[in-house]
Amino acid sequence: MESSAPEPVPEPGSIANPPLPPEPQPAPDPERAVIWPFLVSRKWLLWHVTAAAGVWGMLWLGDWQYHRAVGGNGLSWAYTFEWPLFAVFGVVFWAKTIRDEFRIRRAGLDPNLAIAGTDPGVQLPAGLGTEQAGSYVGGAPGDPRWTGADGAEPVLAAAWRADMVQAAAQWTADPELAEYNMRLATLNAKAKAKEQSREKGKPGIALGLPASAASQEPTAES
Amino acid sequence: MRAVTLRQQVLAYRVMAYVTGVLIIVLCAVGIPLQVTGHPQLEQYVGQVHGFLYIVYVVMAFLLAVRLRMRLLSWQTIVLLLAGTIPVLTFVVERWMTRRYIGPALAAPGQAAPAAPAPVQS
Repeated sequence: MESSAPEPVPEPGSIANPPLPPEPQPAPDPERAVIWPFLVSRKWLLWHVTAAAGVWGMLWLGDWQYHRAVGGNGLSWAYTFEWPLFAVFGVVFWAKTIRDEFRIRRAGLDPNLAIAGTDPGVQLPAGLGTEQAGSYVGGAPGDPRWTGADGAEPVLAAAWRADMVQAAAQWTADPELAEYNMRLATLNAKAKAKEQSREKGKPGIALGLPASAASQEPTAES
Repeated sequence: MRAVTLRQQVLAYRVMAYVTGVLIIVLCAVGIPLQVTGHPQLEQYVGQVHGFLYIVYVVMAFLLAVRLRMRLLSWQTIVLLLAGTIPVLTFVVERWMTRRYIGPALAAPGQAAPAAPAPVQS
């Protein structure tokens, strides 16, 4: 039942084969997107080294206290157990920062976040502070809808999301550039937010900036 | 539905902040001078108590930071966790946390806040 000869591939667009409709582009899958390269960025490598040194130091202190305790210093017994506890906490903290960062970066691809600017019921990803959440309810400092603290810096939801989507696309090609653009975008958003909060008379902050702040900067795509 | 409310977590954090804050002040303002003058007992025992309560403080502050969705790898969280080891800092940090994070979180919708009074028609 096998065909012996390979079938000639018909040219698309010919009469026999009308052009196929363009295949729907799959939406970026938050679970599949390659986002781990941030773990080897300079900031995160520094954090890994710091965490490892801290945990090692705490274990070393615990060991030192253990030897003091064995040597007859009764008070050292408590510290013998405390330092390893702190070391365990350090590991948990380090793991949690990584987990949160994955969540934050995946959230950039999460379509639910698009309505975060209008819907107060949307759950923000871990790591996005409640201080910023104030801006998602609506408004800005000085606006009656604003629930954030005085002097708080709102994250511009739409602009932030646009940056995250763009960065997620960039991470595969050039993680360093993606990080750099994100940093620029954050600075930009913060400066804008501060400017807005200074002009208290003005109504709510522009939650939907026209485009990602990073896209105005030179990128590799251009 | 969460078993532990934000208010309970805030209360736990505040209690621990004030307890460790008072203990570290006692430790530094009373215990160390006494130790220098040859009476190390107070410093030793208060130090032990502070050591254990600081563990509780760190756990409570960490859980609160997670609940408030603070970015963990940030100087805000680091200062919050280390505050329990530096005299007076817990009091300062507690006020700052309230103004900057806890207040807005309690005011945010979704929290079981007392119903706002109806707007007065003028």
